[in-house]
Amino acid sequence: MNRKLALAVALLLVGLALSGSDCIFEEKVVQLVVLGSSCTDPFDEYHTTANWDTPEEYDVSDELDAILSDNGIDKSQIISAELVSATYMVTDPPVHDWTLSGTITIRYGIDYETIVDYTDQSLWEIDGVAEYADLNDAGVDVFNQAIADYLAGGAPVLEFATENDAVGPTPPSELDPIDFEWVACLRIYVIVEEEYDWPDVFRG
Amino acid sequence: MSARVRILAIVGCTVVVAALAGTAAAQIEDQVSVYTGDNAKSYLEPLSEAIGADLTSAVWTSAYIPPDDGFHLCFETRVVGMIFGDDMRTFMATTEAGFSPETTEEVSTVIGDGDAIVIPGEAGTSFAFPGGFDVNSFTLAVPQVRIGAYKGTEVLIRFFALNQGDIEVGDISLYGFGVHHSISQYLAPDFPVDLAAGIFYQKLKVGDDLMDATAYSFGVQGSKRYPAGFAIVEPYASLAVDMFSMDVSYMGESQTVNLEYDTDTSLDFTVGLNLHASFLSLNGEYSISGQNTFAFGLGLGF
Repeated sequence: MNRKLALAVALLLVGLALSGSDCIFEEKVVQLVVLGSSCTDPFDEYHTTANWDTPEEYDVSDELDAILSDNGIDKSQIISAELVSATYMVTDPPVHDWTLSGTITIRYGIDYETIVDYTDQSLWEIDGVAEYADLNDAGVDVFNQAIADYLAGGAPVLEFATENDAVGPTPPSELDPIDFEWVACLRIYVIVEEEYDWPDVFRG
Repeated sequence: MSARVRILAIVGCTVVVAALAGTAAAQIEDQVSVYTGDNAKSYLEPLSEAIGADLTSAVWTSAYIPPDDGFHLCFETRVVGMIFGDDMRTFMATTEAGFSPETTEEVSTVIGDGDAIVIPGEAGTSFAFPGGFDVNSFTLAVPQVRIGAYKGTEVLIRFFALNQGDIEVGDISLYGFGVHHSISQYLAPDFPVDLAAGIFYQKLKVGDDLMDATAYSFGVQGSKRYPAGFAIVEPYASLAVDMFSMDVSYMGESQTVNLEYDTDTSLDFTVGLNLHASFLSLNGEYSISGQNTFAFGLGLGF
């Protein structure tokens, strides 16, 4: 091998080596944010009076595990997670419209708080349309506490319940019962920290 | 097989790693899926500018095309880098996902600080803006083959393909084709410099839909060869019009988000230096454009 050829090979090998070496790649730590959404099982409402109380269980572990699984996240990587917003939507509408007033409550252990107040809510208006809920501090705190307990290794189970106390324009009756289904969905952010190598050739 | 052919074969098989390693690209998709619309577009803007600047740099690095019709072949590798300015590290983002109250906050772009920013909202809710990948520069390294010459014309081909296997990003591919024509052949033999003009088209794809970028470069080059012992030193300069556009598509929370970065046209002025020694050539250059870039390259040919 002559001198010029040896020089060419040496330069080529240096280039190949640099392409995979630490002098090009730098370790980076980034906080990824995942926005997950989980919904309750449908609330099945059939009532002949204006006042009712419909509970529905919400397994925080199952729902958050599903969000993590969908996004390829391991629970041990999570830095924080909290509630961003909530919506409710009618999934099976009644034969005619009704307007409802009442509260949605959240129960976690001995904690029992209102999470949403609704007033004169038209069911047909939210048929297939997700309506953002006006949330209450105390109820959101309970939900965020359940998330924190999940991250700490617990398996929290919540109970949401509608406590309806008024129906318009006329109250339901045996002849005209109110019959519909609806779901509540919660949007949660999850912050995850990951490390990776990025080729940052001209780094400062 | 001669030593020269063996070396050319090695170069032909060399694939220098493209900047977008598969894992990093997958994580970029995760990050940007938090955003929709204007937020997503602004978050990725530095990446779009960097890819456009890098693709359209270091294409033609000499105005010299052999005057005699004859076969010449050169395998080249170009490494082009862009250093991000501080003003590219943040943008004004607006909260999404029904968060209340709607808030605008200065947060990281894809190249900005890595920490997420959490802001409080009504009734104890919170919203988190993702961090960036804390990157100072963006580098593309591409192999290319230059073939000529006939009637003072040579062609340039770029091709790179990487199969990511199971990694969710998918394949990465880059291909480009261009033509370079000597203007010097129409000028007097004693014209003081070599002149040429070229046109080049490139396509960069990441995954099936994640990123699809197109670049065009039209330019004129001037260079001058000076003997220097066993080598030839060749300073060069070029003026080019570069055009770049990019489409990004990713799965948001519940629907596909499509981002279109409109065609960006910029004037590019480059100065550089070649060093030729037998069948080896090295070059380095600096380009002044919308985004300034550095480049260096290695070529082996005859």
